[in-house]
Order: sequence, then structure tokens, then C-alpha cells
Amino acid sequence: MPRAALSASPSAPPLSVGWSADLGDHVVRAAWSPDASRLALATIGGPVIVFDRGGRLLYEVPGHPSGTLSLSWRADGRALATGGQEPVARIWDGASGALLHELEAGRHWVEQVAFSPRRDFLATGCGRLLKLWRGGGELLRTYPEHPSTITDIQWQPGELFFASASYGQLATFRPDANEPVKRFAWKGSILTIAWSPDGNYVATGNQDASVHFWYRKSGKDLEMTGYPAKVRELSWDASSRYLATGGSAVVIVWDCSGKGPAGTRPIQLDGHENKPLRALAFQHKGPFLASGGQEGRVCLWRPSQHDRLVRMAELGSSITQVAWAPDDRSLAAASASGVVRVFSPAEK
Amino acid sequence: MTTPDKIPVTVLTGFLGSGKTTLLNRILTEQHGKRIAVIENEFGEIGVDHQLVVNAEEEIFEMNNGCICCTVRGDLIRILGSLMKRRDRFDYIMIETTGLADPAPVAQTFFVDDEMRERLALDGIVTVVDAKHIWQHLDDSTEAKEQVAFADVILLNKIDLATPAELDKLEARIRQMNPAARLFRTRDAVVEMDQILNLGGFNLQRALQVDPMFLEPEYPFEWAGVYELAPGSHQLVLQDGPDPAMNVVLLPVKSADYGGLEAVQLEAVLSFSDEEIPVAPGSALRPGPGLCRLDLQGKGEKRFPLETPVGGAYALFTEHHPDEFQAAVHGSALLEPVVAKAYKPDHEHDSEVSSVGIAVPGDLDEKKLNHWLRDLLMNKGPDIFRMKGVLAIQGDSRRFVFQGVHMLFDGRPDREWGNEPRHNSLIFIGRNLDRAALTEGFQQCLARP
Repeated sequence: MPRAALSASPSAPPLSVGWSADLGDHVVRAAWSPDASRLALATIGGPVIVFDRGGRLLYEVPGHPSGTLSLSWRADGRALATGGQEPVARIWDGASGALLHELEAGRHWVEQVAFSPRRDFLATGCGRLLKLWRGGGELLRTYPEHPSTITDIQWQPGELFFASASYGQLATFRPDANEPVKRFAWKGSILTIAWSPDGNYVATGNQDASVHFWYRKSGKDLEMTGYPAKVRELSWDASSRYLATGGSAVVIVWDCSGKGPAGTRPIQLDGHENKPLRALAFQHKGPFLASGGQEGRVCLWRPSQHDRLVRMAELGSSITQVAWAPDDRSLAAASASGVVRVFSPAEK
Repeated sequence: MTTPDKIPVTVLTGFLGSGKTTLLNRILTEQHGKRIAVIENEFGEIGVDHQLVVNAEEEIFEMNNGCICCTVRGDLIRILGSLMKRRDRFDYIMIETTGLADPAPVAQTFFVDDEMRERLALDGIVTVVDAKHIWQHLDDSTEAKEQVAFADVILLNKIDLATPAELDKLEARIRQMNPAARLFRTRDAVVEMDQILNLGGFNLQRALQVDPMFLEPEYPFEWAGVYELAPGSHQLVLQDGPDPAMNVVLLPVKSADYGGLEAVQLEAVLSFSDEEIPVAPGSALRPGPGLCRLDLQGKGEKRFPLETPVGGAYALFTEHHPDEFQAAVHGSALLEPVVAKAYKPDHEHDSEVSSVGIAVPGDLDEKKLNHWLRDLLMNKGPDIFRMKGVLAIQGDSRRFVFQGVHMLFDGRPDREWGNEPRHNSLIFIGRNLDRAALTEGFQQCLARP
């Protein structure tokens, strides 16, 4: 299983930089608006800064004074939801940054806000409490309390369901019922969820240094163990064939075609100088995978051609986010010291 | 990017009403100029501004592999993970647990989680004990026992509510469970801050300096005497005693004094871990390494000839005190030892939670030690709460210091031994510890000189 082998220093042509900014604070989230016209960046100090595609500052909102933790655009791009280190979520006007609504999400930190990708639903996770809202601020539903703090919420691409993760379970919910559609019980702490784009699989990255993998319909599961550290980075490619995983200094890519990934050897992409991976993102439609490491480097790979390293860039401090614009023409990377760089990868 | 220094973390445990919150408030007010982040698991009344207080619900995450040593506190990982991203860095982190908390998952969080391990260092576990009311808990609460057993520092608080005799008794009881902790008697949790903060990551050296008693060496023998023996044959004579057999070793020494005796102690320890050679009454004992098991079955006096072809000073090490068998060495007349020393006997502890200290001079064989520790922690990890030590590894001029929580082990080379005699001191604190097996197992790891 995952093995961190030191190889010769990788080299590749630099990623071409579109624009760059320095926010001076740890960037916890980067999210493109669905029409790719805006990039929102949430900082741990609170402020959320929104740029247009060309790098012009559009507006800044205070976010959550003691720290912003999550960020999500509504499908129409006209609302931006944030959650942070206080028990309220906020909805801001996507064009102007004006505060539209404050949502009482529970009693703890709002670590999760997730708009559905097509319709107007917003799920919030606050401690063990899961709530569903309209973007206009109406509360639709308060679900029964989760067994422990909700660590991730992800809408299924077909958006009939969303999944929530917590210690001990992964559960899928519908917007119109309190009870979960399915509950995948598992004794362990789930940190992150990734649906395959075809909606057939749901993968989780876990505290106990493993990746778990469920076939949504049959509920059958698989576990990939042996990672050196907890796994918080997961990304599927557009074809739902490749699942890229972190939890290591090497990007581990599982090939889920045929009988895989059970019993197969993963593709290993080694470009981060033996430092832990901090971010992973496949393109939405294209074949490229971006990875960011604690050493401050962004690598662009083409895993379908195995370990081919295509492009590289250095940001100077630990990468915290990599995010492809929905049209795949821009790649945003952000760092712990607050550097934001938007690349325009030439290759298609 | 430069790697920032690790931020120290102190865990504060103690039953509800013991004075934890009083202590926490004191720490927050007295540490002027320091930014302290407090994670509270219990509703406390923290009355200090300018410090960040986060209230969290204790979430204990067991792992799918069922290993209790991988059990961590999920709430701490999430919250501390966020706090560490902030620009306004913290100088110190305090975690106040609930009165009924098991300290292990808190401590383990800083070993098991890679992010926590990289950025934070567990500085110490401070347990506040209500001197008046702890008694009932020590008898019937697993949590109270564990909080005492895991502690690096124990405050016997509310001493104004107990008599000096009660305090002495309590202290003795706590010492028996955890002799490695530093203990302070306090009223209103008044204590010097540098006694409880910045302990330097379970620094054993400091613990030893404060309380050297806890590692008073324990030997596999209870007594040794040095005799001047003329060339020829002498007799070791024993009367009926409590045991059917006794191990002894006879070693030549350079001088008939304490220095001579101490010089052969290590050799005696090593000999006592040898295979026993059965010796029936009437059979001869010869000087040199080798463990002789005297057969003492049957009634009546037993005599064992001591053959010393070369005259000089000899040290006789006996498993039990000779008084138990009215044992004596006879030449032409009864011989008195020139010097004699009683060694601390192996203790018998009745208490479920106890400690085992081991101190032996000499060097350890690294391979044997690793093997022994691996086996020990795999089999007994759940019962070993804490372990700390300073070791002398053969071939390394530096001291090796280590500490552990259950199966998790953290060790590194420390300063040079220099002129200090190379020796090993370690302590285990836990439940149902087998003193004899631990001591013997450790001694098997000594390298042959």
C-alpha cells in the first residue's frame, strides 16, 4: 500500500499564472461561483473575499468574526453561504456582498454549509445538528440529531440526496424526510465525503488513515488501509473511474474500472518532496488532477497517463485549497500564508 | 516556511468540585502577556477576558481496528485544528476535561493524530484532587484512579478541609498509585505556575530531581554481605525458613567495603537473570557468575560448602534476607560479614492501580529492549497507563529518554551521559502490573558487559 518513496526532484514546466493576490491570512476555503465568474475565498480570521475571474476585487464580507470555516455558492450564483466559529450561518448577496440572512444553525460552530448543485436547498451542519433551508432563509427541516459532530455534507451529483458524515456513520438524506434514506454504519471517524460524478459510489476519508468506499445501491463496501496519516483529501475524475486520495506525501489514485479498486495497485504520483498532501482536485470534465502539498507546491498531473507530471508552481507556504473553475479553464490555489494564485493551464 | 515550535498543551483533570476551574482561572490571570486558548468540556465559570475559551462536547473516537490506544478525542482534533490556522498564535493551550473523563484519549490525541503531533506537544497532565472527598472515589471510581495514575502533577487541594493525618494518609495512597507525579498540597489551588506549566513534555529528569525516591533501585536480591574468606572451604548454614528454595550468587570482590560491593552489583543482577543451577545440601558453591538455587526442602539444618581456593573478599547475594533462615557463614568459627546491605524488596501492591519502578545500572541491548517493549506493549498496553524512563543504550553516548501513554511510545536521545554513571530508570503506572515479570523482563534486556 501507499509507500512514500523519495524520488529525484520532480520537474515540469511552470503553470502559467493568470493573477495573484495576497490576503495575508490562512485561506480555509476557495469556491468558484457556478458560472465561473467569481472566486470566493474564506480566511480563518473571518473575512471572505470575492474576486472576479480576472482578479479584480469585487467585495469583502466580514464572514464570521472568530473564524470562517465553510463556504458555498447557490446554483444561480446570486447567494453565497458561510459558516464559522459561531452558531449562525450567513447568506450574502452573491453580486454585492450585502448580508441577506442569518440562520440559527444550532449551538456550536457551523462547520458545514452546502447548497445543492441545481435547486435551492442549503444544508447546514452545526455540531450534531443538521438543518435544511431555502436560500431565502426559510427553515425547511431540522433532522434528528446526529450521533456526533457532522464533519462533512455533500450533495449527490443527481441531487436527490445528500450525504452527511460523522463518527460512526455515513448517512444519506432526502430534502423531504427526516429519516435517512440509507445509513452506512461504520465504527470510525469519517472526515470527508466524495461522491463519484455518476452517483454510484461514495468514498470517505477517515481519521484512522483509511479510505472507505461504498456502492450506493448495494451498500457493499471496501476499505483501503495503510495510509500514513488521516485522509482528508479525496477527488473523483469526471468519468468516475479514478479516485485520487491524500493522507500521504504521494497522491494515491485508485482505478475503479473493472473489478477495481479491490485487489489492484494504485497509481502513485510523487511530487511533493515527502511532505503531506493538503489539497486535491480533478477537473470537472477534463483529465487533469491538481495536487497541493504542505511544502507549498502545486502539481498538475494526468493520472490516466500514470505518473505524468504536467506542470508545477510554488506558492511559498502550505497549500490549503486547489479549485478548478467549473469550465476547467482556471485553477485557483491558495496557501496558509494567504497567497492566492489563479492559473490558466494551457493544455486541454 | 519555517517550522513553528510546538505549542505546549496542559490537560487539567479532576472530579467536579475538586477545584479545577479555580486553578484554571488562576492560570489565566497569572499568565499575563501569554495568549492561552482554553478548551472546556464542562460548564465552568471562567472569568477572564482576552483569552479564548471554546466550549466543546467531549467526543471520543474509537477506531475501527478496536485498538484502545488509537482512541482519540475528535472534538479536540477539530477545534485545535482550526485554532492552529489562526494568525494570532497561541502560546499555550489548556484542556479542561469533565470530572468523569478518562485521560487516555486526550493524551493519545497528541500522539495519534499526525496534525496534532506535528504542531502541539503534550506538556503535562495536571490532576486536581479534593483532599476531603477523593477517598470515596479512589475506592469505587475507575475514572478517579485513572486521573491520579495518568497525572504528571497532582494538586491535593482543599487541604483546609482535612487534618494533617488525613493528608498524610491520602498522600501515601496516591504515592502508591503514582509515585512519579509531583505532588503539591494546596488551598484554593494556589500553586506556583512553573510547577504545573511548561514541564517540558514529561521531563523525567525533572521528576527524578523532585522525587528521587520513586526510583529507588529494586534488585532481584534482598541482601548482600562481603566476607573475608581464607583459602579453603567454609560453610553456608541455613535453618528452616519460609521458602523451599533460595537463589544465591557468590562473587569475588576487589575490596571488602561498600565500594567493592557496589562494583559487583550489576554482575549480581545479571547473574540473577541466569538460569538457575540446582544445588542440593552438601553440594559446593563456587565463586563466580552463575545463579545457584539452594534446595531448602525438608526439615532441619542445611549446609552448603563454600569453596574458595584463593583467599580474599567475597560477596554473597541472597534472594531473601538471611534472617529468614538464620543463615550464616562458618569458617573455623562463625563469620560476620565485613559489610552488609539490605536491598529494597520487591513490593507487593494490593491496589488495582499501582506503579512499578525499575532502576538498574549498566547498558541495554537495543535489540532486546525493542523486542521486549514491543511484546509488552502489545500484550499489556491497555493496562499500562503511563511509562517514563531514562535509558542507557549500549553504543550510544547519550541518554535515551522516553515516555508513553498506553501503547504509544515517544522517545529520543537526550544529552550526553558525560561523567554520570550509565544507568536505567523507568517507571510503569497501570492496572494489575506484574512487578516480578516487568523487572525480570527488563533485566533480560541488559547487554552483557
